[in-house]
Amino acid sequence: MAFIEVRDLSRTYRTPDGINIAAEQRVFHGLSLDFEEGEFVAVVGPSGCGKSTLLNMIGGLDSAERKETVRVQNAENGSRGRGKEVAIVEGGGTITIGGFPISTADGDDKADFINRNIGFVFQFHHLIPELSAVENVELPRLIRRDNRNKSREAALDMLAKVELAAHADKKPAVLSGGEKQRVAIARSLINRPRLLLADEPTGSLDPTLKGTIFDLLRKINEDDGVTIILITHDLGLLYKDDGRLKTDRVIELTEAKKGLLTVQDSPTMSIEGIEEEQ
Amino acid sequence: MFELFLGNNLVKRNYGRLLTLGSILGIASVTVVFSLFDNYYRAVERLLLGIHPHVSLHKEGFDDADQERVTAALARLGDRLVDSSPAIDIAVDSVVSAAESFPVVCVGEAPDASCFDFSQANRPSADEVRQAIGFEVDKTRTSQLHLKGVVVRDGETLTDIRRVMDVRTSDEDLERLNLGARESMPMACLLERTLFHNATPLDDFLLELPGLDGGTRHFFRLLSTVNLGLKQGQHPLFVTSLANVQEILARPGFYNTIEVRLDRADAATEAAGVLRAALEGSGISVKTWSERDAGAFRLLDVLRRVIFVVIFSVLIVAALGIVSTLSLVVMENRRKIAILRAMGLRNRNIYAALILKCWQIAGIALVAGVGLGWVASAGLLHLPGFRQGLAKMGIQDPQVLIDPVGLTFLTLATLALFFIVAMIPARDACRIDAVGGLQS
Repeated sequence: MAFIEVRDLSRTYRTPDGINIAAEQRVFHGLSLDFEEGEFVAVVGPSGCGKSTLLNMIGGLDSAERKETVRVQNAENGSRGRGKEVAIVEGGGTITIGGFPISTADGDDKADFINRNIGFVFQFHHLIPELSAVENVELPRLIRRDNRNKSREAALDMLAKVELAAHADKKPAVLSGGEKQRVAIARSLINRPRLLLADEPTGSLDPTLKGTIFDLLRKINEDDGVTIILITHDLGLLYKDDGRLKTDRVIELTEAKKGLLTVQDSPTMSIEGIEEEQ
Repeated sequence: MFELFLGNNLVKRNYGRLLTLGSILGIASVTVVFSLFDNYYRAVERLLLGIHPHVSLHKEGFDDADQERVTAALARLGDRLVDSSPAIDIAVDSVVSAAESFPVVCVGEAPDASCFDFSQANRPSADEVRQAIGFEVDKTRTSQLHLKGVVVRDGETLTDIRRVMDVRTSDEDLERLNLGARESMPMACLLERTLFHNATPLDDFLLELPGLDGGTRHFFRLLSTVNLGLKQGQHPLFVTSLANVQEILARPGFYNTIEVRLDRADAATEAAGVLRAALEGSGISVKTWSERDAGAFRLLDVLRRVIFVVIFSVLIVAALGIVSTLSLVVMENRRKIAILRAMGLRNRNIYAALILKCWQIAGIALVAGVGLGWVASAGLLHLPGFRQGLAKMGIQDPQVLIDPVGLTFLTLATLALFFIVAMIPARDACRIDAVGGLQS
């Protein structure tokens, strides 16, 4: 049994025009994937192919089983009022992480599982601007209701690990892009998660910083055995100069005929090969 | 506490300050209103307890058998009974004629004039005055009177009548209410100020009770005016000694009321219950002081309800304001909430964060608001015009009153209101789609 099992995942967006379904986009259809514990897997693919959706589903932020009408009010303020329909979302399938059915779990169980087992790193770091670096990092610990002093201590240790101990009291606004992303990584790791989901963490960084952040993730994977699923558009980041992969695997989501997505597992693919396919 | 930390982080400082300031002002206003209402309530209680006994037993003419039953019934009250005495309590038609007050009144032409010097110890007898006095009437008023004849002992009545006297009189003057202690005419009385607006103590006047005393005019001297603010049965109050009333009614020995004084006014209901049970079937009615003036309390209840409706309306408006502000807070913090949910934030954390933040605001507002309300109430009471206005309502010596029960109610209501208003935006916050929030 794999650490993460994705089975028969499907997701369809339908856009109504008031009377009929004007457009239909099938993002996944029968997608099944396995991830082993301790793996560092990169997921690549063209924009809109569903990489982030897949990551959000694995992380429990988006439900696999879903049939919902998205309305304008939903999109604007998160309320569930009767607004104008903008999309109908349908989906199915199951996802388990270490045996935990995250795709069907709900409420406190899911929240606790996410808090203790999953760390997220996003492209735009998503730090809370009013809080200092160390306050941002300690948040997952505080959510877990850990002692405040111990949380602070752990946060400072984690900042030291990403070489930002000297910036602990600085607000995100005065940190550079790379520093912000390292703070976000420190935050994602403070609860010692088994799984780190990184959605284009280098997407907004300059080339030098991209390498630094990627190397940091690699080091975390190697040192702590954290399973990492990394989404990136930057294929150059995934390969060493000699063409060997820096990650354990690369999964490419490609758009096949009839709008269906297929998965190409390409651990030995050369950078040239992928670039040619792109 | 993490949730409070989260709440403080979600609600911008300026929003928090505005909500706190608004809440402080609201609670201060409610405190002032409560204080004024309590002053009025206590003033009414004070007035009513000035003229009503704690419990009164009424029958149109007590006989010896009744007296025995009453004595036995009163014995059941034990130590709670302080005093009891007979009284007359009756509504009568009257003609009151006021006149100039003369220390020396002469009747007839000199040198045969008869002069009565009220300032001297050797005063004329009642009959002499009644037969001979000339009285320069300058105004007459026909009115129904609430005529009350009470026992006066050592200048005291069973009720706390001094409470309702506008002008303090000496013990000797109060003693003059009593016919037995009077050395000469006129009879003495306390008269509700509204009967003659310009009446002042020691004014003289004539009282006639048409249909009851054969047109006899009784010469009275006013010792003090009383001000009930609320008139008993809509009739002005006229208080004199039991003996005086028996005399002007020409019914010696008559009484229709037994007034009972207890050790505590709030024991009246229970004591009345004991007396009712003991006097059942005797034709003697038993009423507490609050039942005697149920109209006044009904008025207070209506007033209290009006105040509560006003306060409730204010609270609803305040609640809508708080809900709007917190909903705005939730909308502005969609991304922040989504980030926190990606860290495993539970719904209960979100509810707790907003509720605790609201309670923090409520706590500050309660302390500061009640304090400000106290200061505002004290400030109002120092305004001469305001004090005069209260005096016209019958509120003498107003004080800043913050009733513990009212304060408890205010505290609980505020906490409950803030709890409820926090729930709506918290529910919306819990419904924020994490993916959508992160993209916003």
